[in-house]
Amino acid sequence: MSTMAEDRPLRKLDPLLRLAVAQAGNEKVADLFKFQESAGLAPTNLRDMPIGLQSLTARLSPQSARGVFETDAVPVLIEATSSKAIAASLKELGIRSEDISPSAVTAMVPRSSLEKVSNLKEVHFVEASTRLQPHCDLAHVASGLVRNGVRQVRETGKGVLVGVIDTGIDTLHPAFRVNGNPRVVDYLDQHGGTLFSAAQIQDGTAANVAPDKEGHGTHVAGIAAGNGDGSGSLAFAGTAPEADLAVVRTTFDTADIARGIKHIFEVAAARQQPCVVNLSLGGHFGGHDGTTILERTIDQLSGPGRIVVASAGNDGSSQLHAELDIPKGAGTPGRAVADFRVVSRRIGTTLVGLLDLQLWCQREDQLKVSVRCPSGEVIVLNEGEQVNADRNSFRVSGVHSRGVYNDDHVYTVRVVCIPEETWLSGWSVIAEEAAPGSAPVGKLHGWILMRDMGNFVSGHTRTHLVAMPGTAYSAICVGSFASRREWESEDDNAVPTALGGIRLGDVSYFSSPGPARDGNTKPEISAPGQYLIAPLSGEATPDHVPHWLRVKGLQYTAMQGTSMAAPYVSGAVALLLERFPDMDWAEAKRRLIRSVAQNGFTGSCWNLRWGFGVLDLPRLLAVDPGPSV
Amino acid sequence: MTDLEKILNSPDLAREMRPQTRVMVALRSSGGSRSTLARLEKLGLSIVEVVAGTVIGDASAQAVTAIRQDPDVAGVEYSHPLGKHA
Repeated sequence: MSTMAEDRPLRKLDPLLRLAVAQAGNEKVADLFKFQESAGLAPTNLRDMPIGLQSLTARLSPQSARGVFETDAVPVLIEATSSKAIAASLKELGIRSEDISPSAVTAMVPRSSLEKVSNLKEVHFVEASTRLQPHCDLAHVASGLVRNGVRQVRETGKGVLVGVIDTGIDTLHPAFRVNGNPRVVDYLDQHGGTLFSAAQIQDGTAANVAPDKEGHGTHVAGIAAGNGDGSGSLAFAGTAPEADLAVVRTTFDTADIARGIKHIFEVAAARQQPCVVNLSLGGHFGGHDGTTILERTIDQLSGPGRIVVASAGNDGSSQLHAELDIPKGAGTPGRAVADFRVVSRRIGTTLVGLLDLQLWCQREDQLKVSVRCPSGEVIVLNEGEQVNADRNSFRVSGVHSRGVYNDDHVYTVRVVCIPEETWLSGWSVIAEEAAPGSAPVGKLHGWILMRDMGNFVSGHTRTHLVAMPGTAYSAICVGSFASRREWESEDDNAVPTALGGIRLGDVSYFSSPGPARDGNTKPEISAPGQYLIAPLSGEATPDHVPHWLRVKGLQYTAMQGTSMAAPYVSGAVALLLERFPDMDWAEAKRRLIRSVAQNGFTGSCWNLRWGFGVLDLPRLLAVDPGPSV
Repeated sequence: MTDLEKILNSPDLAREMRPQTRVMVALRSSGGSRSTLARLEKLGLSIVEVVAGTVIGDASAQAVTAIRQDPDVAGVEYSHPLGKHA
């Protein structure tokens, strides 16, 4: 019998390596690995293994397996007080190592030396080199969906319709087929107004007539509901791999998006299926408080078994939002200024400065809002009056109106100028009280509608950047965090070195922060969105999906964005709907929020980058949400 | 012709800045009664589809001004493009 003193050093050894020490030469174990390798390493095969070995073997790379059970040297990761110190000690034992961080090294350690290495005083832990692929994508590890290569939840999305409104889908991709039959049950092309029949989806007509040349929709659909076919051992299956799919190839116009959601919910009703619709899109036109007509339409269309998920947006590092705090004037009106610049850009073959801007303040505030031009001229936006100021080098048009649903003041401005520095820079928004004390709230929010139009150079804040329709009251709004920074690329030489700077587990730099302008807690949740590997549309052009993003040898590609995080949550909602088909958006949000994982990155309460925390799929499907939040 | 006019008169800009006609008309009640829809059509709205409490259609700027005044209309927004989040 072992004594405690004898056991203690082994505690610094990964259980798998302890097994290697204890069972050296055990032929049955070695045979298991041969079986595992020949069987394609599918989780179903792992279930046939003896209990206890399942989780251990699932983690091993083939190289580790051979090292542990068939050859003498084992590839390991060693965490120590310092990489320099452990490297020196290993060298004394005749073992070469390589630094991977200030406190960790990798090394090939002979089995006979494992115990000796773990006994070294500077060693904290010796871990077996483990498999990152192909059993599951890293996103699934980050969300808890897959642990030790085994899916942790029973639900697969069966019987649920996942709707995707996007650039289209490659209906021929194996990830969207079962036994050759399409999993896409409905495909509407809003460009041509064509609704493809099941036969047209089956025979490839839909893919030919409405191809996904940008690859965005195919990737998004794959994250939510791809079945992993064509990725080798189902490596990159989506969150809900057995859900049905309804896809709208949209024009991205708000009216068409509303029509697309209605269409998908009608398909779901006809099929008597619960449904979640994914919107990996957005913009900054609107009050950022859920009161645009599109957002209110989403609220009206949502209900039991009808849920919409939207991405937060990728403007987290932008200067698209400015917040003007107008001091309460005593004697003279309070005044605040935000400066902005226009960026020259090419529209077709024409180089021009063209910027759209919207400013919002609460209905109680009576403000005089104006635009100061580089020439020094000030153009005032009076309520109900269309302004058109045509000058030799620029044109400013604007209108002061009221929000449809909130009656707030909204100032919409368009600047067009010649692409010369004199006219691109030196623009300002000026907000002042109409009379001293006439702005009790005293806050004006401004959004430049797109990054390539320009940016604020003063008054900007990294808040309130969550895009519409993510700010819709009923929509589940999703931010992104990093779960991957490497893959085997089709073009190894072109992989940007900047990927090494991605901190795994941390919020993505681009993920748009909230809150909504009315203080609503947006985003609600974060999910893996940087980088995710999912199906590559066969029609995607290198302009849209460059070769360095594509996975070598597979029809799969990496992409990043809250566009990728949203469908991850859409898939999660599909799993919930499989179990609770009548669940409405409020209940879905309650369950998502109650089950989030929180960590050192997220903090312990809602914050504007992460929302309430990180999607935790096993908890989502296990935890009783309790009373309303 | 000024430099700006040359730019504004280019086909690219003309296309980019062409007047939008697709509108979303928010009704005060969901669905919209037949009489409301008929009145909106009379005001110049070419109805494409009714989505919940929103009528989607095409209208000239002049018609939009009239539609906004209709007692059953909560507000009108021009349809506008959104972007992908990737």
